[in-house]
Amino acid sequence: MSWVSILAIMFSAKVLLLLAALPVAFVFFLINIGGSYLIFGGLPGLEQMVRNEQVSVAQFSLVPIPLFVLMGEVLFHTGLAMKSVDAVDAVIKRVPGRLAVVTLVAGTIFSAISGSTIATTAMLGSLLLPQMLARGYEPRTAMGPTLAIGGVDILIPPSGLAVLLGSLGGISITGLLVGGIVPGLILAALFIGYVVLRCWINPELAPVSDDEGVKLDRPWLNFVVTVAPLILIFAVVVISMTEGWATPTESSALGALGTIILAGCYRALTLKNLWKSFLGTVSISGSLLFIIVGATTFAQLLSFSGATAGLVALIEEAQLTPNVVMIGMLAVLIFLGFFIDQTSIMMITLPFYMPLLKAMGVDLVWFGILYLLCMQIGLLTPPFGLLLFVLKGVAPPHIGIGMIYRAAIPYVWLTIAMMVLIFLFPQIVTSFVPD
Amino acid sequence: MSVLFRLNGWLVHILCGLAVLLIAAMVVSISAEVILRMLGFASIIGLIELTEYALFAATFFVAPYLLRTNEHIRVDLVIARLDPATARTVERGVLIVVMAISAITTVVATMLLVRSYGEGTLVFKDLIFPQWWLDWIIPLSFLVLFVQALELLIALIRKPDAAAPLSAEGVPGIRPEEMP
Repeated sequence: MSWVSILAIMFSAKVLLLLAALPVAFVFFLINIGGSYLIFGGLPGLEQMVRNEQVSVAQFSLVPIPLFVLMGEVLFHTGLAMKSVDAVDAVIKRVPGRLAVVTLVAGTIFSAISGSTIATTAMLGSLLLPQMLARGYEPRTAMGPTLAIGGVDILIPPSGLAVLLGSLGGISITGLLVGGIVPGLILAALFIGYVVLRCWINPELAPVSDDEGVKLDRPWLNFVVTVAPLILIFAVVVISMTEGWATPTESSALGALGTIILAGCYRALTLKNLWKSFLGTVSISGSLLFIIVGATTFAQLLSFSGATAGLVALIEEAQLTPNVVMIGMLAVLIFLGFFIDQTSIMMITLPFYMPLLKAMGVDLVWFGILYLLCMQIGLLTPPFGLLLFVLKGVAPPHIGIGMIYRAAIPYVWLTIAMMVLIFLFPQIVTSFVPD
Repeated sequence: MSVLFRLNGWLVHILCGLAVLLIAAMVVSISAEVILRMLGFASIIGLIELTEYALFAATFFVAPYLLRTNEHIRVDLVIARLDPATARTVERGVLIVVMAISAITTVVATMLLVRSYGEGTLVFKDLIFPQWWLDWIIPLSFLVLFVQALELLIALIRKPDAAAPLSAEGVPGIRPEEMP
């Protein structure tokens, strides 16, 4: 059977099984069982599949994923995240769309210490969305920032998806984590500018309430006391990596331990909320890593069948310019993001992308950041945008999924604008990456 | 059958608890390694390898719990638009497929376990130990997954009026009552 036929069968089977609501990991397992038996050769093929499952996640470079998620879960379950939102709320005054801006600023700060995009969106959505709706904010103006800032979490370290991309693609994990900081901050600033401008032009989108937020005696002192330790942990994680004191995995462990100790110092840590944090961590990271277990053999089947080499050769023979090839790659990522989760996209595309990128001599960290921005768009686009479902889970019942889809659209365009900016000016990423 | 499901339910929670303990152990041991190194002590031999095995074990141990709580990532685009009766039929099909996958993987993984135990195969890295110390994890996890899927299937058949569970109903890793 030709590689084209194998490729067509594997991908059509994957799409059909996904649409039938089979969990993503089990979609891979089912295709792997059939593929291993037929392509790897009978029972030995199935045994090879099981051996692959054993080694797929037994990798030190994947360890930061649960540990970064743990940082976010501890902040969420101990209530420290809510305190930091209140601290931001108390210092931001007299801005058009004030609560939406609070969402974006608090989300950016939270992103700097949480590796869980889900926790960020769930926390901001459940805390600030009801307040905004109650004060008469137009629903899309209220929901959009919550969705968008959850996506920024992918870029600003700690970021589980950046670790995954680095580990699976053989790209410097430290480079990806550090290289994402400036684009993440610029993107957050773009989102804030957009909200302020829209609400300034049309004040009805976010009516000014008599209640101007949380009232504190010394709001700036409270802001420093609450937020500075969080920034300190972020600094420890980033500086320990950039200075070469610790590997990304070790930095993630220090960050997780630091977050737990910080919660203890604030007297917010109990055995109950620590247990909940760990349970949330194993749930989120387990669902992600279980997909990798299945997707590893899937990628090997593609490679063994000749599909990977065939497709790469086809693109090389077309003699397209590197820019055209890269734009095509990014377009494919955005397209796949409509239908497939981020982990699966990485497992499917990286075997094709990495040889091509290396052959073209592209800066892998720079392309990695563009790749992560595509993943961010995938989190916000229907029908499989995970953050859309997260927000649906925390939004009031009268908010329909269609309205949530529409709320995300402007922020998707802003993210694409950011991608164009990075594509034209790679220095936005490369200038800040350590050697 | 109910005794089997109750025992399996305990096993699901015990395995999930083990996954939590493994992640906690990772945090403590890796942090200790960095701090000890900074203080001039030698690295802990075999720690990286142990951490890798712990991540592997934690991933498989939590899988049955995720099936039980419907937290595995899935696309419910189509099933959410089906009428309840058809959605239930699709959900039954999904659970049967999960059972089939679990059964095949359990059988093949058990064959590997028996072989590595019989042949006395060793793992040679920083640490040297029998291969079967790792090989029991996949068959046990998939066996528990099989029974868990069977329990969900029977529950779905016995309650024909119940709505099929959808992943969009919850937030992964966070229970509804845990929202602020």
